[in-house]
Amino acid sequence: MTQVRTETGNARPAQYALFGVSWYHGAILLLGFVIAFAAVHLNSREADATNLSALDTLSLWLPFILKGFGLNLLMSFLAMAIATVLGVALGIAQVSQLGVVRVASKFVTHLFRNAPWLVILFTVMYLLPVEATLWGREKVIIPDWIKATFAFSLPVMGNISEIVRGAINSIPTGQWESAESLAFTRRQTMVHIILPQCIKRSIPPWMNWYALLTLATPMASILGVHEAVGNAQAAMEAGGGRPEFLLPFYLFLLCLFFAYIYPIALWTRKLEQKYAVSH
Amino acid sequence: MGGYTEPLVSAFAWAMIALGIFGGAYNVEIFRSGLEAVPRTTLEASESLCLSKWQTYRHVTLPLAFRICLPSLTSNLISLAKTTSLAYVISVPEMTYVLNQVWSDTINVPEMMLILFVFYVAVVALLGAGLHFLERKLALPGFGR
Repeated sequence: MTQVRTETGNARPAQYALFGVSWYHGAILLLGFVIAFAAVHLNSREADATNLSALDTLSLWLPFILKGFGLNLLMSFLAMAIATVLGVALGIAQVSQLGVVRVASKFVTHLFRNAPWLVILFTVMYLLPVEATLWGREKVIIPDWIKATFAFSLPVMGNISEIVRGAINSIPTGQWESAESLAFTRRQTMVHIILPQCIKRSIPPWMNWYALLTLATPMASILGVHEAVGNAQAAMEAGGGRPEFLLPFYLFLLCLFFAYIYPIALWTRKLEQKYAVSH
Repeated sequence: MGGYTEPLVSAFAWAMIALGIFGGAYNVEIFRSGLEAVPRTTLEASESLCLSKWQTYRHVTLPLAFRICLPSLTSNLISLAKTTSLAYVISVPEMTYVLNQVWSDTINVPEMMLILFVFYVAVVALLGAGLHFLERKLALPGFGR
């Protein structure tokens, strides 16, 4: 991730491609949204007066969809928190001096990086128990969205682990050697010298993964979590399940996610330029 | 939530179109940065050798840009291979969908999950190995790292 770039330069990693977005993408999206609505609105007004138009249906169900979007955001925050804690630990374990720890953490990292999100989602959803015993007494049913949150955190954990490992490896060897000459132990070197420098390098890819995680949360609707996309589909069904609703509703969802991700993308790009490592 | 009418384009074709657009959008960005990463000095050198603009593009820029792009293309292809499991949602009979039907029929979720994991890890490993082989085959001495 934060590799030394040679004079010839490397192509940007694929996941950075997210930050090719710019304001006119949003404008085009919004325009498409308005046109789709106008078309559907005009069509349905002539058709019959008893059925609600797409716009009316959307405004009727807007709070419901936004509530779902709130769940999307909550899931993304929680999953990112879990993924960061586990991922940083796993990343540090990957540069451990103990061979067993290194191999084991590498295996876990690559397992979760190379498995599709949907497969991990299925695995967690089906293999985690439906209810848990809290403090040995009462049984609590684990809600689906918490399981989905945990599932989403796993692949991100693997990727954060790789980010941390890459960042640690990108610190020049001289830093380690000078710390050693100052009689720092390995642990002290890690905590006081290496990791503080890694934070700066890891923040842009970390935010990038947050954006990707947020974009992946609608996947939970496949397994019946009531988030934005699932709620929008339910609203469409409630509005009569007419096929002409599909385009405006999905475009609305697109706009919603774009409006949330776009500022994050801009901010990340700014940070990336600011923290660019030049050797 | 689609499927109100008889589909004109099959679910498989739609999955291909959607994933093609999705992966292509990333590839555009990769190729652009690859073309930009070709050193200016190389282009100037080819200009001094009296190569025309098209010849420079054909014999210098494209081969170099492709080699620069290759690692990113590899990672994009791998992530796309993983994304194909999402075709499950529109009921394309791919691995996840088929295994889901198996574990719905006979309750053997953990075994099928294991197969699914092994399958995808194998696919990703194979793709990665193949493309790394290509990368090494195409590596130019004295270029890159």
